[in-house]
Amino acid sequence: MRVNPYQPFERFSDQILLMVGVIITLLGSFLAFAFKARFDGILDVHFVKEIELHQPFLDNVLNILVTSVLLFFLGRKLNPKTRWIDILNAIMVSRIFMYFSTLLNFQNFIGNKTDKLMAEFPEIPMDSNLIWILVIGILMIVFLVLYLIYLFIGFKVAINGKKSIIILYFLLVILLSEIILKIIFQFIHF
Amino acid sequence: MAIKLPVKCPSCESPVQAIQLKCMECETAISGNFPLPDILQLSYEDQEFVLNFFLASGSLKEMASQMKVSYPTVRNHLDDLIEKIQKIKKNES
Repeated sequence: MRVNPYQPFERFSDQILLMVGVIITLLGSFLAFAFKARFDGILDVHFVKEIELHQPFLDNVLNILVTSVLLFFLGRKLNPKTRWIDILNAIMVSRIFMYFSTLLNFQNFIGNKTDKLMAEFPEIPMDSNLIWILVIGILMIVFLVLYLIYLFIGFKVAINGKKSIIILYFLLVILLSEIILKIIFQFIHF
Repeated sequence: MAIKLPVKCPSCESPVQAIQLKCMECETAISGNFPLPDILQLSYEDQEFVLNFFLASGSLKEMASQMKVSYPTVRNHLDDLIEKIQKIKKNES
């Protein structure tokens, strides 16, 4: 049986992935606190001026739980043998790329660049500020794409998915999760 | 070195059948048309997998631990093999 050595969801047991996933979530939440990042959606990361220690932790718990439940229902529909733990592990491990993106705000780098740009608004000077913001924007997109790719890979392994239509179902559920979380975050303020 | 039983024709990939069985003690040979059992029509690696599954008392968790892979990987492989065997049975009937 051939297993891709670079594919963690095929290689490692659910206990190891769960442990790694929890560590990634805790470290990622702490990084988010350090670099003032909030995750108000499964696909979102926003940088804020003020942050409290518990906020990114609770953001991540909510994002991970809601998305794992929705993906689990989809998984069960496609393959009745799907386990929730495999879906949960896929989400927790793949979110490492979202946490990497918070490093871009080292020493409030993004905050400072954005403030300078907004100070000139509605003028948009073509200077190094704008170039940095474009570069950061591209890097954020790269991290988001990597996150979704790994999440999809983990989801496919969890459900033994082979048909290409699964990509569409997966993206629809991610979108639904984002909408539901946005509504929840509107009403819950912690 | 383990000798692998060929299950497909190397020229045209059609399933092969046994046409002679021989007793190694008294040299008696029996000719006929003996289709291979369904399980022998799987590849050598797949047969090994089924045997290991049997030796692990049907525990996918134990198999995953022995093979050092994840549980869904083993479960998915088993599901794929079940599909293969069902196809073989369907082709025969």
